[in-house]
Amino acid sequence: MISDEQQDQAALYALGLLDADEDAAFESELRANAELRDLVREMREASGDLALTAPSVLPPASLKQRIMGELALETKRVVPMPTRRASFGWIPWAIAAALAVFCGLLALDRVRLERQLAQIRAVDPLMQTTFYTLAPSAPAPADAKATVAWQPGRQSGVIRISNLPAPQSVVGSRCRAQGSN
Amino acid sequence: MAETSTAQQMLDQEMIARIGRRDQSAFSALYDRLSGPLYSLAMKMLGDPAEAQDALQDVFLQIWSRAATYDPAQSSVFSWTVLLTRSRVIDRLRARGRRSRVVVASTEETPTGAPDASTVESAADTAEKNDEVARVRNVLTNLPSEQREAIELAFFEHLSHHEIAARLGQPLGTVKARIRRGLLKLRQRLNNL
Repeated sequence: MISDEQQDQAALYALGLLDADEDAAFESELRANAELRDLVREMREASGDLALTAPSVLPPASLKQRIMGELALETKRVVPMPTRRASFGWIPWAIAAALAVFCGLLALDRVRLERQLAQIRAVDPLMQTTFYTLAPSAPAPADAKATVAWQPGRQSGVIRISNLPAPQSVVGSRCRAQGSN
Repeated sequence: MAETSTAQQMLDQEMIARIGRRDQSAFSALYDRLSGPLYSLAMKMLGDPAEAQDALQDVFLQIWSRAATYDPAQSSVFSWTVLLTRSRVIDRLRARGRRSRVVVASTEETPTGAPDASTVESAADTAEKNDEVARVRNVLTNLPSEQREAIELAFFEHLSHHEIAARLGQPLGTVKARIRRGLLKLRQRLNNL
């Protein structure tokens, strides 16, 4: 059952005469009352029909052209968006493909470099040589130095000694070997 | 409803659904069907062709952008578009800050000033449409004058119930009751047509 007061509010609501607070309060009432919603719809239809009682005047034909022109402009503004998305949609895929190719090239390059290194090691005797630096022990001179280059595969090597004192003062001195590759 | 038969309402809803899917031909057809009554309403409320045309343009662009949100459970397409039109017109009235417009003294009145012959509804309008308009006008005219007056002041001049009470020198409760009874009677009689 809808009260007279609710009917009054429904009529004012249908005509858009309620203020913001009244409007919000009535809408919450509407949500809970199907019968009231039906009444509002009926009143809204009745008020809609009131528009037909206005003296009949047609808009100029140019207005339709103007509106259709606006519509076309709006469509142009809206339509390019998906087109733009579509035209640039390949970019992430291209980046992924480029990265995959780049990784493949890096792998191939690594294999190639490893082969080259192996070949160089096989050909260049220096690559298979172990170097030792011999540090002097007291009372040998601090700037005395001995370097040993040793090739285990050939069981041969070279020793380079520098800054040693005269042979008589070397007697009795000992050397400690420090190995490095 | 008086303005639109059930079949016409279904056609209107179909057109709105197509507009919601960005169908310009449906939009064009709906414009052809509704621009006359909506423009007439805007003209009656604003009394200025340029403003009425701007308002109508706003309304149809709103129809284009909001068609997908139209809810047939709340109103017919025609009533929905009338609602949009009144809303746009009221915005303009508020912006312009004046309320003195076309006097709604009688539903039989002619438009203020001599309208451009090219814009007056012509014989191209269907007899059926004119019949509908005549029926609604007849029903409204036959409402008790105090109810009709209150409804017209609210609908066309967008006076609040407080302003109508002041204008008519009647208590607020009386004005509310007149509007309510008038709308209910209008609805009942239009349904019986």
